[in-house]
Amino acid sequence: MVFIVNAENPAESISSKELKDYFFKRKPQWPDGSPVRFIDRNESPERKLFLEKLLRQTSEEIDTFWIGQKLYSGNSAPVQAASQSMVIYFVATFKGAIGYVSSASAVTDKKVKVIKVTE
Amino acid sequence: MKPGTFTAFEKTESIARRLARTIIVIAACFLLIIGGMFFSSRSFLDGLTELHQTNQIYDVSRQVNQIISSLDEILSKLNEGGSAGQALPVLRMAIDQESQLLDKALKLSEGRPALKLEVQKINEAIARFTEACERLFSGKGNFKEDSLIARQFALEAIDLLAKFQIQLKSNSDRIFGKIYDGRFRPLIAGITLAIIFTCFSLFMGLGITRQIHRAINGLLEATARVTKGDLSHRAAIVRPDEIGLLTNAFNQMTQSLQDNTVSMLYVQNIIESMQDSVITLDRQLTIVQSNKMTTEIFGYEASDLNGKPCAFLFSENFDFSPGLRETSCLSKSGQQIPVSVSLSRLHGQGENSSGLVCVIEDITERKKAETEMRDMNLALSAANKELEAFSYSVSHDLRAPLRGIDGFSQALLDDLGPKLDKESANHLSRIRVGVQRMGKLIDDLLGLAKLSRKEMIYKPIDIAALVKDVFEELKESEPERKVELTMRVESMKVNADPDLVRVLLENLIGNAWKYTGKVTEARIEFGVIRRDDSDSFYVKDNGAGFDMAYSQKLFGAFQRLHRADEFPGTGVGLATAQRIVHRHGGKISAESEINKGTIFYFSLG
Repeated sequence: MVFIVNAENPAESISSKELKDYFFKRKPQWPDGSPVRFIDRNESPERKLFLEKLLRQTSEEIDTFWIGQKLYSGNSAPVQAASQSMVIYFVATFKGAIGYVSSASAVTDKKVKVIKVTE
Repeated sequence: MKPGTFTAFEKTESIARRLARTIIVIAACFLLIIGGMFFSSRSFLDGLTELHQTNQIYDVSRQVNQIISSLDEILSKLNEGGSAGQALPVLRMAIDQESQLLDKALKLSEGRPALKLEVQKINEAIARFTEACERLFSGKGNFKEDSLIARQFALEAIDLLAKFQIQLKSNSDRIFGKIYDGRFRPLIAGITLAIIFTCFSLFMGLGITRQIHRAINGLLEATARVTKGDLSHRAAIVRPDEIGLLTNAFNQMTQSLQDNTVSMLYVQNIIESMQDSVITLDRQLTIVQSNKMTTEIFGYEASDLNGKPCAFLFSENFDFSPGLRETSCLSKSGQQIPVSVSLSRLHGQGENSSGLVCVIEDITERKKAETEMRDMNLALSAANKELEAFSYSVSHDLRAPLRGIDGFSQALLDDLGPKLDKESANHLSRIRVGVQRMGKLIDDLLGLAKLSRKEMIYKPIDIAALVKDVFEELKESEPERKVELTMRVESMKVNADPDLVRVLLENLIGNAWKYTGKVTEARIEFGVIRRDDSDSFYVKDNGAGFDMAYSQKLFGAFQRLHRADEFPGTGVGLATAQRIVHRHGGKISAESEINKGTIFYFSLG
């Protein structure tokens, strides 16, 4: 699983903590001030992997989290793309977008680049 | 200020002003309270206003949220399958509604820049969304891609709205919390200030009340004391204000009362000390007052007199009109008392107007004296008449034998004359002399008696001319004598009986002529002088004079102060003169010094 951002995004690598913050909308902006737009996946092996490996939480837990968030911070769960190509399209469209795909090979759009996620 | 004394009083304070000041201060305090309450309520009111506004914006945002949510739903449905074309009019409507609402929200957040900013951000986010929707529904481009983008924008707008609403909610909670926390503040402030205000007003009010109370109490007490009769009491002046003014006036009034009472007592003393009865009557002739003498004269006590009609004192038809009259009054013991009553109008005010004042004098003594005098006079005049009659008849009766003696002694002298020896002839002549003398005496007595009985005829006569006449007669009778007459008045008219005055002058001037017989330069003077406030005539001579020690005998009949060989006379002359002067209602007197001369003073009425 790799994480992709818009090619114009100056970031080269982020920590996993940062990633989680971006996903859980704890950090709504990139260091340069542009808004973070996290694109999630629908129920899929990629998502499963993402939840297990990175978030280390179940889908129900996530759902519960987002319900709470809606009440307390107004934040909604990130949009879920139906396919990987959608993810790529999304990240290519928005400068501040960030998403995940199964492998680097899936990245075919030049407007998108992979970033490293450190521990 | 010391009670009892009052110098020129100056009002330097004013209760009215103090009251006014107090009221102003109280009003100011009241205004302060209102102000305080206003201020403490302001945050309250501001908070409410903000709350209201917030609620309104919240409502708007909810509505916007609804619209977006519904749009998002449409989007989701479309994703699963559906016609985009149908969604377009809905979109259009939604856009219109949204813009209206957002305008409203902008207006509502006027004056709150932070909120306004948020609204504008929301506006932008929604604009992005609607734009994306438009693209999507127009049918151009990739549906899947476009719908993803649209959904992202929708999410973002919704998130912003949600955040906005949360913010608003927390705002309103905060504001409400503040309001709720301070809900008692205005009330407490009001109550506190009201308590302070009340205490303050009470304090100030009590202050004034006490001051006024004290001053007035002093005055009231003084009034009570003065009413009871203590006219020397004066009220103390507490402060130089209006009440002080009143107190001062009261003290002055009391002083004046005191002065008047003294003079009233003085007047009363006078009336009580009078030796006459003084009774005051009112219009209905009821006795108002009576003095001590009334009781003494009539025997009735004051309680029997005062308030009773006075009729029981006076006789039935007594005339009560003003004036002086004599009448008879009835005493308590039933005695009739002769009195002199002086009645006069009593002018007064009110009840005493047009009354009468009676001054009653007990004239019992006077009447007795009058009666005595009358009786004495009667007796006297009776005695006088008797005396006159007696002396007339006596002299008349004496005449007869005297004539006999005279005649027969003369006959003897004629018959025996040459035959008598010297001694016998001497004896006979002595008898004759005595007879002559006696005859003269009787003549004089008779004359005197006649004089007393003669009726007086008053005529205006010139007494000075009469004096000159009498003097001439004397000169004719004794031409060899050198006597000088000095007339101090040339002419003097008096009302008198001419015959009597002639006899008077004959006696007085005759005496002067006689008793200057031994003086070489005899002088007789006649004039008028003022003696003891009345005019007196006088006859003055520089003759022998007499010893004043015997002046009492001077005018007595037959009283002679000189011997017959010194100066001739019967001694009746001056008695006659006195009788004439007295009949004219005048006075006669004499002053003399031996060998220096004599002055006789006399007046004719």
